[in-house]
Amino acid sequence: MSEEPTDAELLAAHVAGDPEAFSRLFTRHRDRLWAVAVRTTGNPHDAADGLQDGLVAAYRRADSFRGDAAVTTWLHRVVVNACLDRLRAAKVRRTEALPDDLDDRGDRGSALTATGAEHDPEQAAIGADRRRALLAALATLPVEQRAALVLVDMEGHSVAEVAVMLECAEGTVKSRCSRGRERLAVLLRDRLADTPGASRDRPHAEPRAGRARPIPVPPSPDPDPTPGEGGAP
Amino acid sequence: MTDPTDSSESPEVAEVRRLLAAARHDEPMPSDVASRMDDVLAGLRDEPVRRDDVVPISAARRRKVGALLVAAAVVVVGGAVVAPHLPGGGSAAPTSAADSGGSTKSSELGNSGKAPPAGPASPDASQSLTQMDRLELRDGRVVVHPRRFSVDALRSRSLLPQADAAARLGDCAAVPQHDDVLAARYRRAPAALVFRQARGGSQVVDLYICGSPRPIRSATLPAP
Repeated sequence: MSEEPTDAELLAAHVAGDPEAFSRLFTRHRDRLWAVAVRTTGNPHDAADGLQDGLVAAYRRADSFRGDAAVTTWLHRVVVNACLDRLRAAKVRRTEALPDDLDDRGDRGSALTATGAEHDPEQAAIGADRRRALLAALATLPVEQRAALVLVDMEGHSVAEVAVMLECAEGTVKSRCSRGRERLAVLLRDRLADTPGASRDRPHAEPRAGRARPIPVPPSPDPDPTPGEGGAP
Repeated sequence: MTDPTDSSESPEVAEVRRLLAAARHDEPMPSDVASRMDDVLAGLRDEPVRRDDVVPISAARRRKVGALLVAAAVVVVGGAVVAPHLPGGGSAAPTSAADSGGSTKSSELGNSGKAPPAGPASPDASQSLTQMDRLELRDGRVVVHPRRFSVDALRSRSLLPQADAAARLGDCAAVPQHDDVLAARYRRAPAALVFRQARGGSQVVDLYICGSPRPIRSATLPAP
């Protein structure tokens, strides 16, 4: 039996006054929390701010954890909510729709496909370009849809887990994911036509040379109206 | 696990899901961000009060700022001015530079020549102050300590009504000037605290190092 304390034990120790317990807990999960923050906010600067807000909130509100979900689910919920609050506030005071470091990140992003791109510079460039386009398109979605897609499709959490993280009904999560994917499919239509296996079902897609083309950036849509979803907005 | 793929899903949507999965961020937290989070955690460990306890004090301070100026005391430590916040609603009070006798020019922060009169503050009040209750001013700038950024920012906010125009605007050209700005010092560098417009029950404060267009620290404070 491992002597390593569980997440729940560390959180309980923190509430009880152990000065190091929360730090150990956070260190254990910080890379995944960072990843969620980066993908939810769209840039490392806002991600760091959102993660810090979430860290402070989790530290101070640890005694509110009731054990209804896993500690990591609770941590994700606090961090994602902090990031969403940041995004909503930024939407008011900023006008730019795209994250401002996409060019930098596109250069260091890994290839998207598993077609040997890591061994083929051209495929790697195409993969990086698609990744950049995907992230740019993702940044145009309403923040609630974006968070749902990040948690479900990127991070691989179940709809039930994400419903807890986002404090909404499972149906709301599914709806947000569905709408977000549909929207991304429209925004990335031209690029999807380049993807092996996707173009054969798209007889009207124009053949492309594989070079990057800026995706059209639509005006930032209104928040997810979630009509008839039976869950919280 | 993710929810199973809908059989009615179009090929485009299925491809979007595949692209999303492949775009998962797998890089570890950068070392600078990790250091920043460690600083935040260290500050939280040193913090003697919970935010929930701070809110009513802050609100009360703002409402009673005039009356509380009388109760404010000034302590000169090592040539720097320390403006204490009295427990239970005390307010920071920049003092006259003439009293400091050092290099501190706290008059630049505001109320030059309007040092609060010696008030009826209890002699025990300053003795009960903790380090967290103090604001340090150097050269007309609020000193913001990395390990207690949020607390220093919160304390500094109470100076805004008293700071003169120069101190409020700061001298950092790249800092957004449409928000409340307070000249600051961070890690010995000239900086500025930018208090964003409060929204709901919170207010974001960003710290800029002069010359940098991006804030390097940020925190969410309870709304004033």
